[in-house]
Amino acid sequence: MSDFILNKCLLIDDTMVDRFIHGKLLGHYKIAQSIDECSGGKEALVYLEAAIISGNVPDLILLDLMMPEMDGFEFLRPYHTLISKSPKKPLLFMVSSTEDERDINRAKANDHIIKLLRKPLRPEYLIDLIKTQI
Amino acid sequence: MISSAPKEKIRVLYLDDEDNNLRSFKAAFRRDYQVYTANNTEDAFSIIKTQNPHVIFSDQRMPVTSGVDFFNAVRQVFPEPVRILITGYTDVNDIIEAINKGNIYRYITKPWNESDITVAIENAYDLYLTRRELNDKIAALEKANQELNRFVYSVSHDLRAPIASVLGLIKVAEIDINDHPVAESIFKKIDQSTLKLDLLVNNIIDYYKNSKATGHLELINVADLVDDIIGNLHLDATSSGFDLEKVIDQKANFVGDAFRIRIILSHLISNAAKFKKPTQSKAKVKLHFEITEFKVKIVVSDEGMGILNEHMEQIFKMFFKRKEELAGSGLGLYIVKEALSKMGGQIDVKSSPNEGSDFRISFPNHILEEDE
Repeated sequence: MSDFILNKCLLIDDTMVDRFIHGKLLGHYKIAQSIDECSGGKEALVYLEAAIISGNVPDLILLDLMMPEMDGFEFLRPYHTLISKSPKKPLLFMVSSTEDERDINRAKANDHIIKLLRKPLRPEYLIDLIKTQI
Repeated sequence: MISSAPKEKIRVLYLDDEDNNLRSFKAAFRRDYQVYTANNTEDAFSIIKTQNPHVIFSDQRMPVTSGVDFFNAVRQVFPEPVRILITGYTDVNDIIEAINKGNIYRYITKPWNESDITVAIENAYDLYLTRRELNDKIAALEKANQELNRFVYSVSHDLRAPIASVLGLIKVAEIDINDHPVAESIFKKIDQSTLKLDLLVNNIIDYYKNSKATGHLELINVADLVDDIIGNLHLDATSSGFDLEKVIDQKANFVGDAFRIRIILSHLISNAAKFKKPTQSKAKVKLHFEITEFKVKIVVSDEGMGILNEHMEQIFKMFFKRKEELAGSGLGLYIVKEALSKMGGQIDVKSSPNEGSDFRISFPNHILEEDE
């Protein structure tokens, strides 16, 4: 269980099952109070644009790497421009089942990604990482 | 070679500044071969470009360019045709130099006779075909290798993704099962089986990565390396937790192939954590690093169940497994051995049943050859 609770988390993942798992774990471990879901990068950009205007930017984003149309890294380019307009910067973790060194190194080199987390998500580990950020 | 296909007529080009020679050459060989002739290098080049000859003969003594120089120029642009020089005995030094530089395949002395030329053409054509076949095979291998690359990449994601989802679902299900011991034990078994599957996929990926990696050398911080490895150990090994003790005896910088060292240590630590005695609640894993200017020695020891004598010979073989439940993919130690051999290292095991195992590895410290 976490000893903090974040307000809002956004899940960006094309796999419905994984959104379900992450939503359930974040709720059970009391990491976030409310959870919103987007099934792709484009949808998430629209969501975030509205969230910035209404002052409802999520505290935490779990971003999947492998998605059709726009993958996690591609999403981060427009995200960079978008989020620079927001006073609040979400904590962003990339989640993936990748074992590929290239992905791991790319994630390390990206300033927006706190860490690339392996699926299945380990909530205890995520809690520890969030604690170092808040 | 396939002999049923109609034999392609061998295409031969002959370059000589004397038209008489060209005429007699053509007359002698036109029936058996497709013969092209040229009395200057410009024409010769345009024939090579358009007609694609298999074999090229050239006279050595010509007014503007020598045969050797001509072949040298041809080779840069058209490496495939086999090149044969026709020359008098007086040009020995030129010939030796041309052969040594690889500009010509062989030479024929003037005056030539028909049978010498025929043998030369047939041999040269065989060489041409062999080379072409070899090139085709290389191209096919390169293609297969690229496909394998893509295949492994997609396996690493496409196969792992659903496994990770199943493992996640089990985690979620376990939250919701309340006081249902049968369901709980079934889910635990599903979890174990799925972890095994995940381990196998991971090991296949590791095996492949090891065979591909280029061996990039970097400066290694032992404490960071160990933390990183422990943080990324497969869940299969960490399920019941383990106590880790590390001793670092470092007398010099440590420069090595961090990628392979990580693979090796993560397999050895996983094994040490996994094969505990049934009486131990937690495994005890000891790491001992000894780093000198020339050599790195690492011992991974445990106080676990140890290895039976009759198994000692086999543990590094591909797909060797223990018979019991804990058995892994049968790839772990095989990968360790392969990775070490790529690093010029060695492994040695001491083990007694019920007392534990010591895996000692050693490999060169590349302190003077750091890439960056």
